[in-house]
Parts: sequence; C-alpha cells; structure tokens
Amino acid sequence: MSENSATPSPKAEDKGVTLSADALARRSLLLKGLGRGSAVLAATVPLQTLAGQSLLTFDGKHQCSVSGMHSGVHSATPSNTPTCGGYSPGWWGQSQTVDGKIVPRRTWPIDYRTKCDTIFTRCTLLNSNGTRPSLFQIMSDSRFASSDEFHWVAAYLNALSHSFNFPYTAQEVVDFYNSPSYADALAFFKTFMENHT
Amino acid sequence: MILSELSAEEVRRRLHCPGLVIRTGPFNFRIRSTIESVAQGLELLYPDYQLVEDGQFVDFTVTLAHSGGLRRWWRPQVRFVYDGESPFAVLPLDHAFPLMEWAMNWCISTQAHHYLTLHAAVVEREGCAVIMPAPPGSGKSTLCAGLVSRGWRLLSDELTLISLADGLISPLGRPISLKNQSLVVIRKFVPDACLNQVTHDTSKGSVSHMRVPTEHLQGIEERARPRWVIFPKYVPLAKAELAPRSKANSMLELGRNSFNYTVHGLTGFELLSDLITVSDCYDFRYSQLEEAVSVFDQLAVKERG
Amino acid sequence: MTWQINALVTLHWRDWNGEWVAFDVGSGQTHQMDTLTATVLMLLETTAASQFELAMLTADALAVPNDHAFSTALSGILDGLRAAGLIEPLVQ
Repeated sequence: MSENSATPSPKAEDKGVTLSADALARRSLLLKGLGRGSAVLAATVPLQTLAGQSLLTFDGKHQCSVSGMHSGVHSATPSNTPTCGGYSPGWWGQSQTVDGKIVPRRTWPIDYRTKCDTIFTRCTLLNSNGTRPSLFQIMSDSRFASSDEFHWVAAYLNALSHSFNFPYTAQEVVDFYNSPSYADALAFFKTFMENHT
Repeated sequence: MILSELSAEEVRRRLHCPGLVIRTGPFNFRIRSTIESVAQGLELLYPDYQLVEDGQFVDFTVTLAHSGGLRRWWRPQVRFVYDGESPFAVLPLDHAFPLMEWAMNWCISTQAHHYLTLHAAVVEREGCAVIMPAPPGSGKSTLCAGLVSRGWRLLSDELTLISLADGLISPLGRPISLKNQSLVVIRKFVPDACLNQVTHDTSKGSVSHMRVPTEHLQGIEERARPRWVIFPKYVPLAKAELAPRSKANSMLELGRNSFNYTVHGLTGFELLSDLITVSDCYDFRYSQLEEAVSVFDQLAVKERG
Repeated sequence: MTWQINALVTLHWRDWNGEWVAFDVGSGQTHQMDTLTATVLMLLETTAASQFELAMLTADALAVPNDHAFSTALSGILDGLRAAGLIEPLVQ
C-alpha cells in the first residue's frame, strides 16, 4: 500500500491492537483534551527517554553519570548490570572522499558542516586558514585532537545518536559544557564514554 | 536516651561490641568500629540522636574495620563491611568517618525500597518541602547548609525519602556533607557551625560534615509534603534567580536522580508524576548565599499567602 | 507502510500543560514528548495507520493544517518513535 493510498487501514481488532475497552475510552478522553492549533506545533521537543534500568560504566564500577563517577566510594566488584558508553572521537572523525569532497564515513545525526561554536559557544578553535571549524573538522583534523572540544563534540554526537545507552541528551551535554561541572563532565565523557572505536 | 548521655568510654565500648545502635530518621543503624575517628565524629555530630533500646529492630549494621595484615600498621586502611561483604574499595584510615556516612547512605539507597529515594537535598518550611537534585559542583550542599542555618528545617542533604503510600517526605536528619570551597563559604556564613575535622584527599576532595541544629531533630518524625522542585546551580557573580522549568523535563531529571525509580516500575512513575503535579519546578542560579536564602524565603512567604 | 504500536508496549500517560510523559510497562522506560508526538502515539495505540492516515487523524485532532511541513514533522516523529522501540511496521 502506498503512503498516499486512500484505502482505509484494517480496523484495530484486525490489527492485533490489545487495548481494553476501558483503555480505549481513556485514550479517547486524552485525545479530546489535547491542546489545539499552531501553538502545539511550535512546542515540539525531541523524544527523551529515561532508561528502564540502572546502567554502569563499561568497567562496571561506577553509576553511569557524572555524579556517579564522582561518588566518594568505588564499587569493589563488577556486576551484571547493563553498561553505557559511546563512540570515540576517532570513530566519528573517519572520513571518505565523495565527489572530490571529504565527508564523514559514518552516518552523522546532525549536519556535519555545523560550526562548532554554534553549539559549543565558548569554542575559539580556528582552522589553519582562519575559518571557524565545523563539527566534522574538529573530529577529523588532527590539529584539534588535543582540544577539549574534540571530546565534547564526540559526547554531543553520541547523545544525538543514542548510542550504547549514552546517559545524557545532547542538550544536557551542552549544559555541562556551560556549567561549573565542565571538568567533571569532560573527565566522565573522556574516561567512560569513548569506549567504542 | 541520647548519645551525649553516654561516657566516652561507654561510646567506645559499645562501638567495639555489640555496636552502637542509633536512630537516624526512620532507620536504626548499628555502628561497629574500633577506629577512634569514628567515635569522635559520632560524639561531635550525633550527640542529640536517640539511642535504640536493646531488642529493637536494627535496619542496617555498618562495620568500619581496620584492613588486615601489614595495612593495619603501614599506611593503614579502613574497609566498610556489610553482611560479611566489603562492597567498596578500601580507603585510607583517616577517611573512616566520611566512609561511615557514605556507607549509611549506601545502605539506604540500595535497600530501603519502601521509599522512592532521590539523590537530592530536601529542606522544609511550614510543612512544605523543597527538593533540590543536583550534580556535584552545583552548590547544592552549600545552599542546603545555608538554608538550614536560616530557618529551613533539614530533612536531608543527600537522600530524599518519598513514602510509597502517600507521597510525603520523611526526614533523615543526618549531618550535612560539605566539601572544598563550600567549607570556606559555610564557615563564613555560619561562624558558630559545628564542623567535624576535615578529611583531605578523598575522591571528592576535602570533606567535612556539619552538625544538624538540635531543634531539627526534635521534629524528626514530622513529614513534609513536596511543594517545590528546584535545580540549583552556582554561577559566579550571578544574581539569585528562579526560572520556571518544564514539569515533564523535571520529572525525567528526578527519575535520573533516583536510586530506585526503576525498581518501582509503574508505582514509581505514578508517585513521581503526582509529586511533579503538586510542585512548582524551577532552575535556580545564584552566587551569594544570603541572596539565595532570601529567594527561598520569598517562596515560603508567597505560599503562606 | 502501516504503523502500529509495538506489541510489547503498554503505556501509562501523564501530562502537564501540553507536556507529556508516558511509562512503558514492558520496558520500564519513561518517555517525555510533546503534544504532537503524544497524539501520534495515542492514535496508534487505538488503531494502526499509515503515515498518510496518521497525518489526517493528527491534523484533525490538533486542528492544524495538514501541509508539507506537518508531513515532514510527522515523518521525523515516526522515525523517533521507531528508534525508541515504541512503534513498528504492521506486517500484513
């Protein structure tokens, strides 16, 4: 069936929908109570999810959060709890040539040409020609490999791509960048969230 | 009977065997240790806490023991023992008292699942509680200590205990943990604050604990209803300011800051949703503690109507 | 393609002034979403539908025009819900 077909879809009971009559009635009430109009479209936010279970860092020793890393005590033994992690900056920075242009080899969750300082507004890094580097240039150009932004951008991309139970949203990564917790958060991302190469 | 009614010798005798059993909020803790700094810390910071009669139920037994072998004498270490196991890595001996506090928090946060427990400070005024979740470096503990010193009742500086039955918050009332720069700030803000000796070189830096005002312990059975969820952030030179915050986002952030939200499943979701429904949620930036306290006082005045 | 709610998903909803949270009993996950996403998901809870049908139903429910921009937004929402494991293609 094409996306634009006018043929009605099968009814709920034919499609295995298992909501009880009571639940269907409650859904109808919720749908009736919705806000209306263009204001609804203006107030869109990306879907955010809180995991259904606790996560640990890849070594099993710390809770998967900036504060968990900084607990006063460290676990003595690892456990079977699922772990979190992320792709390394080097993974994000892999490149290929397409139509004579150097572009990311990986699928990026954001336009790779986005300028770094539009996201990380305190970034003062410059390309050799004096221009402002893009996120992809930060990831792929070796001149930036020792910068903090090299890791912040990786954390941001990991957050956007929801890879490996990454524990923070992209906005939270930016908030950490702009907060007094900058150093703690950077240490957490570098130490625990770049384990997939 | 309260701890200060025991002689120093009796405190140490009980700590050695069979354990000093003390009530902190809704929990009875048995503390066992022969380490002198543990005894001293308890005498200084827990003098007004109720001792528990023989035969009463003990929720948790916390043992702080010297490490064995050479480590008993050479760069001596302390380990926390619980039910025969040592859940944490060993620490230097002079970290024994902070380790006791962290161990007590660990016992509650990992096992007291008759509460929904948040990693958040919580203080109360006229029956209404402010919950303050925050990552390290946000100034949460400094703010908590400041508020407690200016008329807000301490419920807890680390663990917010929410009843599964009715959503009310139970006080824990244990000493307030302070570290690094917050020690400097609080010494100035509260010149007569009773602070334990500072332990240096912990994984959190330099830490100490501040004694809870005695009058707060007198109301230790009084629970509070949640009224505000405030996410504090210390920002140098910032004017103290509350900014309304998304309720849905606040709810997810509380879930992230919970020790056992995922344990409780749908019950936890309903409980946290109810809490958010009845609470005003804010981000809060501040740099001056006096100004910060004043903003919170205004909230209480407005609530009083 | 016809979309349906994932068979293992059972949702409980709460909302505050156009912000929605949903708890999925099957996974234990809690999701935060806007009204548009919540509407799409609630509609799919009641009936499977193609993107075309969802656009009509959602636009009608929210009293907004069913135009190209709306369709693009809907497409992104369906991608996000699928990535979160909340919806899946109906296999007929």
